[in-house]
Amino acid sequence: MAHVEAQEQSKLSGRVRLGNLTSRIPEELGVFAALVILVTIIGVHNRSFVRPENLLDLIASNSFFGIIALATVFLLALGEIDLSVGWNFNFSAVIAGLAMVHGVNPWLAAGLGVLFGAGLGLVNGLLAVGLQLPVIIVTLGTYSMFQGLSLVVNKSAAVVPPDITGSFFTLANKRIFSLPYVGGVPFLAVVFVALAVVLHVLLHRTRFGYRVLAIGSNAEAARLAGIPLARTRVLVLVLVGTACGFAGSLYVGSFGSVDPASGGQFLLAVVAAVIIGGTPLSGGMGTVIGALIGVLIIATISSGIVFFGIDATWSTFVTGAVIIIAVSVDQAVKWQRRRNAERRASRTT
Amino acid sequence: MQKALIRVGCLAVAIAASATVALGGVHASTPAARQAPEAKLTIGFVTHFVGNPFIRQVEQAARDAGKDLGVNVKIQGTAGFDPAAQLKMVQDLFASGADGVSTSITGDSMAVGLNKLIAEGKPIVEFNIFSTRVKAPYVGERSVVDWAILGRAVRAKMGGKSASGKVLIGTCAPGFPALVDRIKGVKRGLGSGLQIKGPFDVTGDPTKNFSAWQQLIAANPDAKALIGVCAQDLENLGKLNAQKGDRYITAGGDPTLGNLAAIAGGHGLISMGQTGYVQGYLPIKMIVDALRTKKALPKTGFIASGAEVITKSGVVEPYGLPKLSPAKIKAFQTNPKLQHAFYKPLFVGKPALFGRGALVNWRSRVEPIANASR
Repeated sequence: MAHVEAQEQSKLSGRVRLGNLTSRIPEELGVFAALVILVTIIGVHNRSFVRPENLLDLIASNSFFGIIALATVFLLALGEIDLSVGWNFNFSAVIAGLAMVHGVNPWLAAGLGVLFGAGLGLVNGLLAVGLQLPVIIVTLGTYSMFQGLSLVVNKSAAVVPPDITGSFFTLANKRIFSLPYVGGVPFLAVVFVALAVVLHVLLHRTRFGYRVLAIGSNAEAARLAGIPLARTRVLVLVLVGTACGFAGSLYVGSFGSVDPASGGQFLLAVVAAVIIGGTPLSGGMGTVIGALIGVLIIATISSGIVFFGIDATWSTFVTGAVIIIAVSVDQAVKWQRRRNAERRASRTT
Repeated sequence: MQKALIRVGCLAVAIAASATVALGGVHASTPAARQAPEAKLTIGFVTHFVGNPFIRQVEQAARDAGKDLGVNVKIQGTAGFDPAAQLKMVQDLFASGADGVSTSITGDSMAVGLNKLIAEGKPIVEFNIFSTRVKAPYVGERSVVDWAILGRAVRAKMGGKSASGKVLIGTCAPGFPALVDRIKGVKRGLGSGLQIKGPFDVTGDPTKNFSAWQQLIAANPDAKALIGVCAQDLENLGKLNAQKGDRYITAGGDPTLGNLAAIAGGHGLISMGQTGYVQGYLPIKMIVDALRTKKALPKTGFIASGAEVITKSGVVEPYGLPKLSPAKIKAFQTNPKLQHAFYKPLFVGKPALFGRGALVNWRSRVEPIANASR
């Protein structure tokens, strides 16, 4: 009898161990599976796509809106949306570019661009807190203000630094860490992934991150717990602005110029990447690593359309359809995990 | 931190794994390997404003060129002006094995990336919108000179030398270089002595465009002429003019069905076309010629696609092509075969200055790039 009980106990503890193991599997597994499936399908169709050089270039060239998406996770986790990110990016890039045109050292000019982006984020934050309005409403106005002011400042023309041979421009286009079978890794890709790690830690391992999640989950409870709501909101918007400025400065370094329309269409891609990655619009949750994967999914779909040779007329429809399939895969994986967890719970009880 | 690194590591390993699985035949699909003598060439064609009627005509011309020249044409495009996305499409097309690419240049920021490809020996031709920073030839309109024709026509209608009054100019994309050049041309054609207001932002969205013009008219009831430099303007101006008893002289661009209807109904004076068919067909021909003759494309230069002057009496076409009736150019929009038959003679036969064969020897047509916006 005791032997049977011991066997039952052993089975139960095995299940618990398995349960602990599966609960440690990242939330992003589903969306990651969708990415791997997409990459594999396109790679099987055209093997040039999965050349390491091409995949790394894909990450690098999408890092501009990607960097903004990483920071936007914090905002969505708060339950807010910033509509002005694209034009903040553009305006910051224009300021960095113009500083270079006026002879400022490109590194300093890039720093100026980052600070300027942070400043625009601060404007959004102060307006939202001061007027006690949702960020979406405030940025509905600043979206046009940033675009309009950028057009005034750049005189409705591309801003082209006169000398793009300096170390700033070289680094932005450089491949570093030469790896076997892979070759050089684009600097932009390294920055993008490194930033994802840093922001992941910021969201899940710091007081600031806990506060963001707490406010997004239940603002009233967070207030009663003594969390400074206004300051946290402003700081998150400054963070998003800084990301816009940083991406804008990198853009000038990589492309050697900034156009009046650059970044104007980032908004949808940014929000889509964050949501596809698993951050809900309702707030209280957020995944930076998921957003990174979301960016890569959007990038992979865009490239896949070219590699499959899908005509431009169909490309918009196909993009939407593949996004639906990708989130369906994510949902299917999550559903399966939930079901397994429920089964385990019912067995243990 | 450790968990984050593990997650990113997992991502990298899985992508690398799927890459490795598929890597077996990478070399077999590279462009160089596909360049066997009998291999069919593949040419990419990257546009902006997918779905726009003018762009559709350009795309159709590129497809026709592909069929005529026996090459595959892959068409890609963005919904609006998105230089970074367009550049990525060009890069992806080459990565997927395209032998050459023609693209519109919606921003100077495409230049560095495109020049890198050109330096690697990839043939690229710009069409419709260009950048002087890109080291490639360009096929498009002579924006300033062509739109000065429109300005002069409006001035003539306003009374010629003795003309006076207010003229409103609208643009769908403030600051966009090609449109800035058009506005410069319009102002040059209008000349002095008129009260020229604008350019005002009348937006690219057709519905908002209608409303924007409506408000402009409400704010300037004394205006005599209304000029829009984008494809959707004249159609909306025609509707508004009809509502107002055709009080205004209206003008715009491109032979869209709506613009043609406005002119046919007497609500619009003139529309400037930029011969979109040439802008789609010629770049494909240039790339194919360069690849087949192994003679590199020019590093710069401009080939005019030619101005189309569209009025109630018909359409004056460039390069000595016969004048088109309004009914015929309308039929082009619904029957692509008709426009193919009309324009194809420009690209076949013996080289000639006008008419049949006018663009066969396209290298003789290359002008300095500055002429495109002079």
